[in-house]
Amino acid sequence: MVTPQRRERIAQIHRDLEQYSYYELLNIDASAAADDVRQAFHRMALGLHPDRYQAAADPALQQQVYAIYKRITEGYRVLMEPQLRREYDEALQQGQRRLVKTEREKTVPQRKSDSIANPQARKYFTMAQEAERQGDKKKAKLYYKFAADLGGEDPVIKARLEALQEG
Amino acid sequence: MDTPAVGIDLGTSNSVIAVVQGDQATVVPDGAGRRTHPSIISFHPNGTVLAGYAARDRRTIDPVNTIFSAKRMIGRPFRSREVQAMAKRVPYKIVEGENQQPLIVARNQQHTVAEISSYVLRYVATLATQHVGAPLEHAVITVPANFDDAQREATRVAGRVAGLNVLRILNEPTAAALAYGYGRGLSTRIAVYDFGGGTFDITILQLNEQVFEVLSTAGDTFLGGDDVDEQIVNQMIEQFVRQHRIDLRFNSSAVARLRGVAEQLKCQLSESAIAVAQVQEVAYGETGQPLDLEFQIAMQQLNTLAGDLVRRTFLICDEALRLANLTATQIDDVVLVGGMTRMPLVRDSVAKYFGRPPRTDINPDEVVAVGAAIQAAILTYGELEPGEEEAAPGPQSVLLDVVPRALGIGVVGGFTETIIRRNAQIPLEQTRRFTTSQDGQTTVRLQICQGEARMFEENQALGELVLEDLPPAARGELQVAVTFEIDTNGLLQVSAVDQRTGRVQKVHVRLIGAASEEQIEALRVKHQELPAPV
Repeated sequence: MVTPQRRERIAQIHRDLEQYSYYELLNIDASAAADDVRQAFHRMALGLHPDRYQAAADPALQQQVYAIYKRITEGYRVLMEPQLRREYDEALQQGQRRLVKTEREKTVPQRKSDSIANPQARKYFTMAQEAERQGDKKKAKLYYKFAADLGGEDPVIKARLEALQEG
Repeated sequence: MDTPAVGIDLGTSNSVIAVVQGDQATVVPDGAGRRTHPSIISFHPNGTVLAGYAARDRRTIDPVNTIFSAKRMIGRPFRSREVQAMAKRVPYKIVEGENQQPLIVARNQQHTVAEISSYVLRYVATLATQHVGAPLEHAVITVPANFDDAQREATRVAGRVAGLNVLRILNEPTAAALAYGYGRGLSTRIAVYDFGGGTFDITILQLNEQVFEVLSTAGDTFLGGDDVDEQIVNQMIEQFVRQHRIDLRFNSSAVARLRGVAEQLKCQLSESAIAVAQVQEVAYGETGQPLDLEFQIAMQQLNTLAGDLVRRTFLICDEALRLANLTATQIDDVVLVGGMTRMPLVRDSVAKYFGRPPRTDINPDEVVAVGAAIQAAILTYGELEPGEEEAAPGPQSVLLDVVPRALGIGVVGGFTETIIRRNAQIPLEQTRRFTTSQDGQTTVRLQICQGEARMFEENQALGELVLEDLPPAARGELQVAVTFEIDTNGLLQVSAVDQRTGRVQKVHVRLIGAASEEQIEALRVKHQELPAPV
């Protein structure tokens, strides 16, 4: 049985999760050595690993425990790796509680084929584009036709095929 | 959850099922008292599906309808190295199905690999049901530690199709460690050396009383005892050519018989220095006279044949130790798992490598299923007892496992960008932000893979991550935060949020070679109506 006190404590950690530094979450000093970090991680895991609550049949509690434990593994990973720990200690000085990668977002290029739903049609469409680039119009047309057959009424394929037939 | 929970070691060659009753984990025997069950399924002409030893007996009589080593293909697309290698060497037929799924053809019917595995699972579950005298639903199923997402997912599907509630997909070495240390309150560092029929894994764990933490794991999903059998079969074929000038390579039923004999010889050589086989009527001569094979092999010869394979395992051990920042001598105890570890050459080599003899008091064939059953019991009944604030005491143990392979996405130039590094503690999450490059772009597709190689091509492609129905916006304006999560089963989950609006975006992962949800459900329903394999 999960006692009401324990339930309340978990709810409270979950509510304040963003306020905890990794050190506070693992309940250790900022100077703790790797072995102490590991010991603390084991102590926390005994109390808060999601497996410990699997039989509780309480989705709300399980969801809270899961969220807390994921933050614990994150802290453990960062604090056990010297380079990451240095970066974290600096970030913590700036008031950040988590080590979030501040690198610029990745821009995802859009390919024409991305909107085609059928994966087989998409494959032939890409092959047709490749053939077109190599100047093999006959092959390109054939592949576009395959793509059109598989992709139903896909407008992107249709437009490409028509353009090729006109040219 | 009233019914007892079971642990199933779904092996490449053999499967084992264990059940916890009272405080004792018991391995369930078949009607003849045998405790390991061949992971073989045979489709009989009369419509019956045979499993275990009954199916093994049909390997030589009916090789094209008798399916073995299916685990080597689970979660792998048809065009993968693994499936292509299998297609070359097994007598049954494998064809390509929808979404690159390999399909096995037997008696004019197509079966997915997960379906074949589900028959094995149902067979052992039926044995356990008879043993316990009550229906079973909840199961922990084990997989090699270095199985990737697609392989784990397909194994879970097999469990579902077999009508089981899969409590957990658990790593075999972690299960073995639990069986080794459960209830003993040990504080020690161990290595689990797992050399089975189809795969090799090495896992380093730190035991801290009730806590079992995986420090590192490494392995090869295409290295196992089957490969040794294959080498012996090749020797037999050469011998037959010398004796009778007949090449048996294209005679699938003869090769199937020789494979069975090779496996027996290999096992005999764990006990004696020389093994002899007389195989009668392997083929027929020009005038129809039966031709026999006389073959003998010495332990020395076997060691030469297996030497390279065994040496390869220690390169993988080097890797695991390096990942854990340890040396071989810092390991306190070595636990052996898998039939190959019965080979004296393997035991001697392990002793030499770690500088200490491995444990020999643990049954290497049964330890994984026993550990899985213990974990099943913990997950089923392991309610917390009132206690201290941080540490919830109780007799249970907690397994802290890792993700075996790095998870990455394909980026410009054919490279991989790692999102989640290998051997990180699970469950875990990592969030990355992505923006669009075109005005009005409404779809984003990312190729995802597992593996550590820099080039995307060299890693195992899992499939693609699809973000659909994005709100049209000027390029660069739309920012989507994609969270990659590895759950307690080691399975990938993804979620995405539009950063500006906080709106949850539709996102899904399309696995190559996987069945669709509808297909799985249809299979589950279909299989519930079929009689269990016998």
